[in-house]
Amino acid sequence: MTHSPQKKKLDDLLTGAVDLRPQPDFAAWRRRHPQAVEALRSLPLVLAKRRSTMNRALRYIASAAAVLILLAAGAWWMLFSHGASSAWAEVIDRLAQVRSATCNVCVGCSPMDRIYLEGSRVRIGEPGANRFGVMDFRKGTSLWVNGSAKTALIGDLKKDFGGLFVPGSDPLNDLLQMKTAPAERLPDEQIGDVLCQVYRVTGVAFLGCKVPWVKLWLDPRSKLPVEIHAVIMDREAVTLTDFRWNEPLDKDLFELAVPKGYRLVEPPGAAALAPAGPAKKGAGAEAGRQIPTGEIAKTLDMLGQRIEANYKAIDSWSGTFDVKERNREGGHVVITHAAVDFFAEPGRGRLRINYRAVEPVKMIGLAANCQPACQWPESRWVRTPEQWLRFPVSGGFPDSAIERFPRADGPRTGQAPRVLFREPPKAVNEHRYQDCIDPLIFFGECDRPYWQFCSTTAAALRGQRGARLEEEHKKRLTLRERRRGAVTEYILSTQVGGGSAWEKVFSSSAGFNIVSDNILLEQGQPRQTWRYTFRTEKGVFIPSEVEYNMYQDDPITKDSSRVPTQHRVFTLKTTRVNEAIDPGVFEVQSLGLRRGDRMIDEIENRFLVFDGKTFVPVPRRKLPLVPDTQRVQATNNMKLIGLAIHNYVAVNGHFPPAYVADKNGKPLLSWRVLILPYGVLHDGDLGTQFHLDEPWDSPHNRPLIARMPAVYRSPNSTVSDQGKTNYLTIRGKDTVFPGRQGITFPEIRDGTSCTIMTVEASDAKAVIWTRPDDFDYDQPDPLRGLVGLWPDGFLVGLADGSARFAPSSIDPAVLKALFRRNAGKKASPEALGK
Amino acid sequence: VNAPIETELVEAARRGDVDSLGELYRRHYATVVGVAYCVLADRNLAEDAAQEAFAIACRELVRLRHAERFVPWICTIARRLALRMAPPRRDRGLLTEAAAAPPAHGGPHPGDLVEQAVRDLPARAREVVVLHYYTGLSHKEIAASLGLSLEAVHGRLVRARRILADRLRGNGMGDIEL
Repeated sequence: MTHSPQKKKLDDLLTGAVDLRPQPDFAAWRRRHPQAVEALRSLPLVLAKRRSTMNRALRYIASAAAVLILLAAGAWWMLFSHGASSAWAEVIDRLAQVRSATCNVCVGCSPMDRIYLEGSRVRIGEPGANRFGVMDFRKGTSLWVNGSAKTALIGDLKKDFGGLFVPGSDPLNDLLQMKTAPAERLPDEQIGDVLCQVYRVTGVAFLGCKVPWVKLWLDPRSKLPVEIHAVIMDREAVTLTDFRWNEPLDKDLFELAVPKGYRLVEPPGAAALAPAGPAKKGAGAEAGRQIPTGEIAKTLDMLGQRIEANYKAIDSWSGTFDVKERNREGGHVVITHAAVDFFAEPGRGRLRINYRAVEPVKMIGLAANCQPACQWPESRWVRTPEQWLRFPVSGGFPDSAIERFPRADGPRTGQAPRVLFREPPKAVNEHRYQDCIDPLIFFGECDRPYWQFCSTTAAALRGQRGARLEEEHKKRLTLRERRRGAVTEYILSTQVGGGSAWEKVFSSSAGFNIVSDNILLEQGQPRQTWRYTFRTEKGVFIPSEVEYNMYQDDPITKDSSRVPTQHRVFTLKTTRVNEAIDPGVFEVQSLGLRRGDRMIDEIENRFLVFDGKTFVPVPRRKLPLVPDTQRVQATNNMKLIGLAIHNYVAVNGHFPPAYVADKNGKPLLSWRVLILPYGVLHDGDLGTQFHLDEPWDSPHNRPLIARMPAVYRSPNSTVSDQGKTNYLTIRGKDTVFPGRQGITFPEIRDGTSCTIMTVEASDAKAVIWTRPDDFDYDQPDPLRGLVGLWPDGFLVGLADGSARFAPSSIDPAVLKALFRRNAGKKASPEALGK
Repeated sequence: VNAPIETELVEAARRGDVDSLGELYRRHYATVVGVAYCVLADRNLAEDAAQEAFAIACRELVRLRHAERFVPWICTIARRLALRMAPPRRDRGLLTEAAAAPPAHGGPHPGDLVEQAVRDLPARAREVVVLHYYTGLSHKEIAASLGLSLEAVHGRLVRARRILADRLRGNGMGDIEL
């Protein structure tokens, strides 16, 4: 193809006009930008810091993933759920449009992790994470990548996670089959700034994993959950927060291929966990005798009974533990040396702990940049059967906190309070209630305290539950018996899934208590290890030393196998078993509280005040809750409308006109339609559906009245079902909405914070939302038509986008001045309330 | 052929390798200047913006998720930076008038008319024209820089040329046809 001579000329003209081919001089740039070069050099550290937060305990991955799938699938399932109410039907409609979700998940006391979900695929771990997992439920395959060991493991979902997933099933389709579970509407609750609708769906079964209920907190505007709670595996409480819905997700996130440069490995302990075969002669001394599958339940029951018998023989126990801790945190080391005085009565569910520093916390490394994550303050604790109560010796409110059952996972000192669970799940409640009456709670890691090994292990192993454990883990659960002289040891191990396995060793030298508990990753690499040393005191086995190690990826070397990230040793210094304890130490008063001391109830998310004997909730406000929450919602509506108007101004350079008019000046549609594309007023494409050159009641525009956005719906209105809105502008020559022409900001001479833009009028003044009608105020009595929805005033939106509540006692002259944009000094916003 | 090497350079820069950044700088400096020039219409200012964009990129490289999107990413930084640096609209108007004022010795210079016509193009079209004719990038390079498809670049150029021809014809350069 050749250019015509004329075309050629245009090319010549353009090419010759400007020569923009600068010579890059990197050396000069580098001299001029030393800070940028420095920033570039420090990028690996920044990256390492980001990645270090992504290294999570893999043992929670299985459970977390299961619940997420459940929830996404729950969205599908709800499509077919019976429509309990129109509101719920709306929720179902909205959830049906969900194609992808991202959220934070918190299982039990484990750290938050980010989860991505699209269709039948789940990704655990952020993009670029050193360690992550991908599960594809349609293919039945999973991929687990360990960045520090440069290994990848391809799993089979049918076998992973102890048979949690029924072979050959698809979580979405299976859930679509379940239409019988009812949805129950609960009272609204405030989360952050949003007054959420709360639903509970009960009786949901998921791939053989029974879930008592799923509870959803829905944003009333988007009709999508902002928080979800559920319980999985009978006991693990799961909290999902920080949702982002329907964001396009990168396909690479769900890539099942082994990354380049990674070695494909087999699941850990595959050889050891293989089905029992004929034992070789002489091998029994080391590997131990493999107990046949049919006898595992019986042996576990025996172990459970022995542990429980020892545990129940402790009526009271007190003493002192020496605690030494060494934590690596992003290249720095924090060393803590403290002591714990404890008094416990297991049978009565009472525990008292005094935590005190023996030496000041030491930090090795760049201490200025170091934020020790677990610098425990000196504190006192009392645990009664109802609640945990923590009170710091130095410093007071707001560091005090009460942790109530069932989330009493032990003291989580030094961590910011966070609400893990708003409602105690029943199954967990009963389960943990029993666990919590154990004096030995303080030893282990906060999420794996020693009592889990005593009471829960006993409960888990005994009777039917032992059989169930065996059933759940199918043939991957193995139990070996090993003799070393007079000592008999039982080694229980299984593959958990995602490449991890656990192994527990019960020893007769410790009354068949657990003496070693390890979580292993690929190739036997340890993730967490506990070692317990026992001694006998008055015929009862008590732990005299507990060593805990946690291995996380080193942010610099990417290695997680050498030095533990957390190393903690508890050594028993003094002890008294089955000797009377002064009941006074379990009293709340013994903490040194004074009347008026306040605490935060982390479960109920409320303040409590000490009245001399006990803690009582601080009354929030005198107003009843329901009208108050409605007012919050109305105020939010007003603010959203203000925001949309401001967005309109930002794009168009002027305020929206009060109405769209035709050539003859006849009003066609309201400003409420014009601002639709400029805010979060609605979901979908409503903003572009209107024919702006047709009147509001034209054959095309009229049907759209029924689709009034929720933001135009006043919570107190009785006419909103007719498509009428109470949110109106003030119509008049000197107001912000004079008519066909939109004004600009400089034209508001009184200032935007002294001029009313919108009002929430009474039902008598409400208009069809698309109709170009607004509030024409009565000159002698401007309040007429405004008061009605609220007993004590009305809501106004100012031109600066804020919303205020005007009392019905407001001076009419001031109100009129506030309506006008150029009234001068008469317009005083002080006359308005908050 | 260049793509993987480019990605490796970005990855190396992310690991703190200043030389890799230098190579990226040498490769894409002209492109970034071109993008900034579209907004600023001043070569010196555009070079300032481009250099600043690389400085910002050094600090923010950790946020770049996909290494292969480095060029569109830094172009976006430069474009935003240039928009912030650009004089207010009314001042820009004065400059334009000054530039369009006829020289003392007679009618306007054809080069000025062409430059003015390019400046008056819609932003998206202007970017393609500047990168192609002023900076000398091929269609493929423009597509990679702006994160567009080859067809889109071609279409934009065709439309831009049509507008330019119309405008220049209206300014008395009637021998231009498409």
